[in-house]
Amino acid sequence: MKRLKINKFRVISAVTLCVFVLVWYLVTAVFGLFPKTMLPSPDSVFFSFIKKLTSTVPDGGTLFEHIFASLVVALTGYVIGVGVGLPVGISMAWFRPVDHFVRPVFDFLRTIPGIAWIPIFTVWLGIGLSAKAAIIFVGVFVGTVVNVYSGIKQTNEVHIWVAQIFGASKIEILKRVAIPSALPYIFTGLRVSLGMAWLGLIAAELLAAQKGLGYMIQVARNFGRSDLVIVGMITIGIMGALLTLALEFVERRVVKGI
Amino acid sequence: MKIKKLLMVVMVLIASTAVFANGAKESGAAKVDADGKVIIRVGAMPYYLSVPLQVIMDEKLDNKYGFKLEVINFPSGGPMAEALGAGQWDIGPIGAGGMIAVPTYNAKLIADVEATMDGAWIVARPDSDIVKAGANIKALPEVIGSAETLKGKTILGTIGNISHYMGLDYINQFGLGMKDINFIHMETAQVYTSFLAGNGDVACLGSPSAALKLQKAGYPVVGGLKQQDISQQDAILISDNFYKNNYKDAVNFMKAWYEATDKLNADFEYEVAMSKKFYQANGRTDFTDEGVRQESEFNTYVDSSTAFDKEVGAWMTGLVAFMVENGSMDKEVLEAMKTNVKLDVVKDALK
Repeated sequence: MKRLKINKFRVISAVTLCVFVLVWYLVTAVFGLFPKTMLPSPDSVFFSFIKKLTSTVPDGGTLFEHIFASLVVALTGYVIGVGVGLPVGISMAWFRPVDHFVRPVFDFLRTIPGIAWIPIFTVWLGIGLSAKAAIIFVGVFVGTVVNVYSGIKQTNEVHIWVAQIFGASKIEILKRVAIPSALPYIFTGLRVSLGMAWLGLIAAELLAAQKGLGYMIQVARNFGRSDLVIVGMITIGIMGALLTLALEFVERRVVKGI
Repeated sequence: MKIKKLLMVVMVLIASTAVFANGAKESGAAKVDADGKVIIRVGAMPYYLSVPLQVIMDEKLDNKYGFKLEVINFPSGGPMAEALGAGQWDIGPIGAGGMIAVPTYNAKLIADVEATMDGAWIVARPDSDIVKAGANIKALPEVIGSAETLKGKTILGTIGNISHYMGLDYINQFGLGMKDINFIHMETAQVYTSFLAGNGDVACLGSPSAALKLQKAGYPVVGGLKQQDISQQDAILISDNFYKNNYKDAVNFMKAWYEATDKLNADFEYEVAMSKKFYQANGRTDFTDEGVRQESEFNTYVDSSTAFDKEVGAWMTGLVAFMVENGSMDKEVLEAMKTNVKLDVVKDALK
């Protein structure tokens, strides 16, 4: 019965996608409501997608080369952002002095979008991978800290009391009670941050690039190739979805009770 | 029943998209003002190529030729070309952005703007081996560098504008291609700040003010439009819609345009004054009196007497051919470019 329900929902999702493509096709190819240069039809985007797998026009790279370059940038920023964001979020939530010390700066920095950092990062870090990863780091770090902080703060007080009664130290309670109970929040943070990493990609590749999906979109825009802009957007969506699926797979293995 | 519901959803979505698309399609004749004069929306940039518009406004040439001028400003050619595709302007002077607007948006190239032009340069770091290599091309003694010193170097520039073209031509002079160097794409303002911050070995700048600032800061010129003998020629484009529906108004605009360029070419001091007035009116703060004088010295407008001295659109067509050759554009684009060069508007304007 449960299996049947899951299949039904999958069918609904597939139908939604089909309706979206159908409407897109009707308003472009059939009714011609939009000029081709403004919104190309899905079939022309599909053919551009296939062509881009091997063609290097106009940006000097094939789609796979751009995907690889973007993955390197996005994952570098993401891994560093999560690596720093996790301990900072946990420390802020668990140790009050750390919270008071870090929070004012964090609250100030979290409101600044990644794109605003471009001129500063150019001067500080140059125009290589480190500057691009830094732009993504900003978004990922904020997303991770916020969710980890909330997760740890929501630890059930009864569980903490029980651990205290059994003589557990503050660090032990954090390791054995708070972090395990905050895992769903932590994984939500990781998923949100993954989205932030892909969002930051366009801004990061705006800085300076030779390859990457954000770069491909910008060059396509400069050359008036809206079909390739959409190919880039769809590829970013697919890559984001695949990485989220991978993260959900890990989550199912690590978090108990899902 | 479910299929009926689904069809309803599809129809509602199409209807709402149609409302949204209403503004996207620009067609039909241009609007007229209260006096019955056609409003011509002229795309412009706050640079030398658009100065004749200041003369048209000052001398009320629009009134004289029976139209109303509405200037729409853009910071650079890229957004200006995109706006043409979106039907936001009817006619106007544009630089390398025209190579996108003509073949992609079916705009018509009707005239060239300048007879001679300079103002885009390539600079390197004073202590670099590129500069130390000196001049190595006999025919181009002002082009500095060598294949050995340029190979593997990082060049900063903006893909799709004049700096891209200039940079490609520069490395081609030494027998190199895009694969031999690292061409890093960024906007002009970022090229300037990044280069100053120590990034990249060579900077290609299409903006005279940024390039002149770098030169003043001690960065030597290793290439450029004049140095490489590839002078840029901006062009006047007209949207396909305006060409089809307002041909006579386009002719009238060109009459006013040539009267303005005749005046500018006849009097150097007037040209300098008009340039400064136009830049000020359009919010530019980066120009100096000396800079405007220099710019007016090395640039000359195509006027009514020189309109057909050179093959109209040859530079822009050559630019597209160059981009196709270098793998930046598809071959079909070149054909679309060639078929959209139209001389009839100017011929009728100069009758």
